Amino acid sequence: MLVIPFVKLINTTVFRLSLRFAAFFTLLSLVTLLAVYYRTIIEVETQIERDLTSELGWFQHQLDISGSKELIERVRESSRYGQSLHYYYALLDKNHRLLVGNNFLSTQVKKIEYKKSDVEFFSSWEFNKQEKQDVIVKFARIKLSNGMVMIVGQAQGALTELREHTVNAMIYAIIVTIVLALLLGAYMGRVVLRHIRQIDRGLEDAIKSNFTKHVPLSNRDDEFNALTLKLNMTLDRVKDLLQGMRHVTDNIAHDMRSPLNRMRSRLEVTLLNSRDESEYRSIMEKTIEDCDGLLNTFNSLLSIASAESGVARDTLIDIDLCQIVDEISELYQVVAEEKQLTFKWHVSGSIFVRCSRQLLAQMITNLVDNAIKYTPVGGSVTVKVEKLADCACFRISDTGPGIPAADRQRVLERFQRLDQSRNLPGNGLGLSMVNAFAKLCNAKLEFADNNPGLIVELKFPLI
Amino acid sequence: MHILVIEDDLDAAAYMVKGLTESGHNVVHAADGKDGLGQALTGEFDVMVVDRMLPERDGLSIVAAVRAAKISTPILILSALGEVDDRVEGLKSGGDDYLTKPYAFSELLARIDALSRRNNAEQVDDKLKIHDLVMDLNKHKVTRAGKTILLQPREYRLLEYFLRHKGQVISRTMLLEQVWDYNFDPQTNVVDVHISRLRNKIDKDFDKPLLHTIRGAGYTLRETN
Repeated sequence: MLVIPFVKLINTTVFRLSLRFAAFFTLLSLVTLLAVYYRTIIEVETQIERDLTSELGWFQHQLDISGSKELIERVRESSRYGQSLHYYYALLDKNHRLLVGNNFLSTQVKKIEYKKSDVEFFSSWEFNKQEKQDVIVKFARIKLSNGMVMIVGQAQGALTELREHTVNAMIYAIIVTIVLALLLGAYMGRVVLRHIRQIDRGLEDAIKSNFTKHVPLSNRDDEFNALTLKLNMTLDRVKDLLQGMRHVTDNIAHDMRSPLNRMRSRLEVTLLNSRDESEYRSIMEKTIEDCDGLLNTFNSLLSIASAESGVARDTLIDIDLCQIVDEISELYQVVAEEKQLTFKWHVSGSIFVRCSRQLLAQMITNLVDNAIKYTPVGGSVTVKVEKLADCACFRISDTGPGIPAADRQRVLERFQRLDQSRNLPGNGLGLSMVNAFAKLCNAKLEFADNNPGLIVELKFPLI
Repeated sequence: MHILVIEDDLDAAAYMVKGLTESGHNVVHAADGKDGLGQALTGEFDVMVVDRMLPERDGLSIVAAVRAAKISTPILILSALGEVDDRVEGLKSGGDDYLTKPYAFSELLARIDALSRRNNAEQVDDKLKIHDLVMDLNKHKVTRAGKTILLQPREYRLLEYFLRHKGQVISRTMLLEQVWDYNFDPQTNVVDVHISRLRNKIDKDFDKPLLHTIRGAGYTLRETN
């Protein structure tokens, strides 16, 4: 038997999905970190600006209470301290010449024109002598009340650090996300794969055992178990179909061989001697009749097979059960009368069911035909159609021999005839056909006791 | 009658041609769809019998092509497919009747016969007659030799069908199809029972029987035996 190799972990849906998740979460963490980063930068800058502004305010205050000289002193002091702490100070006179400050403001700063009297901010690269490198410095300046310009600045080392930290954090986040996703994907893939492999093995066993085995269920009540249950139902159906097919083949062989054999013998014996024309004629006519019987059986088998294949399900239409039953009853009334049976049918109004005219008529015909055939002379057959709460019900009851409860499933099989009816005409396909057609139309075929006799019900779903 | 048979199964065709010829018809056989269509388009046949599955060109497309060429020759489609919707499809393509294989030759003959008559204009007279049996279509009344015969509605339709096809052999399945509109074969000979009822009413009390049984084929309504 061809064994289909099983999938690799890397090809499993779960694993692929987790890769996709990894990509998604990486993107998500990038976006989040970037958002946090920019938000923080804005916060830090605002904080610096606030500090610078308040410092400018302090210098203005010094000017107000102590005058210009004192201010110059304060700025000088601050410059001394601030130099090591990355703080920058400069005090310019009215003509924008530097009076005092830590003397490393770039020329750019000196060139700037001061038009406004309120606080202005600007950034610039400055060379830091201690660190021997260029640092970015945020400055704030204001025109003081005596016309001098006060500039304070703060190196933005914190921001640079922040940027570095953020980039690092991003890289770590990505690595961690990817690694976790891969691990999780591999883990989930393995778990799923294990379950599926279990089912796969069970299925392989079942196929090898010719559908006699089932796929074993696990003790978890999960989706795999649900799937396995369905799978087992499918296996059962396959088994049924296989058995049915075998059964049918056996029966066809048997039920077709006997009449064919009979025909063959008859023709062969006829040929042994020469006979007069009328005898030939009568034998040929009998042979044709036998052929017709065989053809009938064949056609019935084909109809059943076709109904069981379910292909015709799409062509079903809404059709009036009452009308068909009325017509068939009328058709068969004469047959019942010939047999001196009391044949009554109670049908009124219309009840629509999903079926087709031919299928429905054939089902009703077979059931009525059976009832009339098996009911002894003087008995009665009653047909009724009614709409029940959950179905449209066709019921036919007779006073014939009935079907013992034990045989009710068996008579639905092809070519099954009860011993008591073997001497009556028929090919044992009538009820099989009704059953197959009923299944096609989602109807239920049920038997009950009429004490004495049989009740057959066909229950169609309401539409 | 001039009949065209398009059938690729040569054995089956040979029997059909033999049977039809012996029944007094003039038969032309085409073994594939291409040849068949060429013959069909000459338009010189009274009835055509077309197999549904043919090499070169399938039967339904031939029927469609013939109809497209405005040739209204009656066509009987033969098919190994017997499902109701196959049948409907066959009739929709322009066929006039549909017969499923395997079929009885008598059935084929009866249907060809019915088709050829169908091509003749149907009787528009409001009275259908055979010998001394008269059906008045307006009054829904049947008399034989002046005596009124009371018929059930279905018996009336049955007799009407016979009267419209008098002299032709009508098979049981044709009756079921035409009078009851069912195209399946009931197991019991339910049609026979209806015929015998009808016969009781129209033939029993009169010396000359009109409704005859043709063994192995069906029934016919005619004056001579």
